[in-house]
Amino acid sequence: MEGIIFGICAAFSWALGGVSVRIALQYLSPVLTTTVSLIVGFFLTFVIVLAIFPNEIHGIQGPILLWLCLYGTLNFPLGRYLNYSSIRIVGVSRATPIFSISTVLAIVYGIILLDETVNAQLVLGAVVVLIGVILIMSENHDK
Amino acid sequence: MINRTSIRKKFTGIWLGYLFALGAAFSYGTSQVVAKNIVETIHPLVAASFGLLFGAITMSIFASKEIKSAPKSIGPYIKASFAGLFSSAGIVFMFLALNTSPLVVVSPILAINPIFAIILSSIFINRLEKITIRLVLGAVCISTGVILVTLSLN
Repeated sequence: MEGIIFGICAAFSWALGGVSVRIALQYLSPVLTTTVSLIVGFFLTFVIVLAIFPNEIHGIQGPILLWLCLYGTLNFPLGRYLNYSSIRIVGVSRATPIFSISTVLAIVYGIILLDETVNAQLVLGAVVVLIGVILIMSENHDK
Repeated sequence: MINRTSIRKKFTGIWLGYLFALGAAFSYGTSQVVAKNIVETIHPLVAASFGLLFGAITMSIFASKEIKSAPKSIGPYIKASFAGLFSSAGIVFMFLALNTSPLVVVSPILAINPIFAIILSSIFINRLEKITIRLVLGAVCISTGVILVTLSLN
């Protein structure tokens, strides 16, 4: 039950975050909004890390630092900047569903790079996602 | 009379927005593969925190070029802070959920995030966002598809 409540809180927080972005982007550029959100996000998570995993910080050195740098650059400046730029143009309700296909992409990478197996349910899921993306993107915006 | 240039501009703009959204999904998907290597050594929340730090440092370089033209009042920055606060709270809640329940339970709940986004948009920013049946159907399809794909791994 706890997991379900935390899961709902996570999904709700992300959605609320998207709405806050849409509001902030009326006054700030995507670059400034991304920067402010990353700084605030870092402090929030770092306080929790210091409280719960203080010893893990000492373990961060050598190659893992390089991996973290790559992960941080791909996920945050690049991913979040594109995320906010798209929210500014198409809106949070249209952009957020499209971000969700990242899960499908990660699994496709797993199949290609890590030889993970493909099954009928996975293919069906990917097709349903594609239908959803087409439904949203083919909408007539001139109405 | 229809202004062709304005329609072309709008069309290009909307498609550019979708292209950015696909680019973001591509970045997130790729970073998940990179994250797989990291979380074998350190806790995912520690990885997310340091990822945010590297991200903030990189973005600060770009942001420094916009400082002169940036708004001087504090209001817009507080609004942007809420964005960071809620996004990171989402990450923390996700790890709490995964710590207390298996992925098969948590994953479908996380996948309904687009539905929440549509509901909250219609409540808080209905003057900025137009919610249509087609959009709701599309979001439901994507959430269902993501649930199917994630559960297929188990």
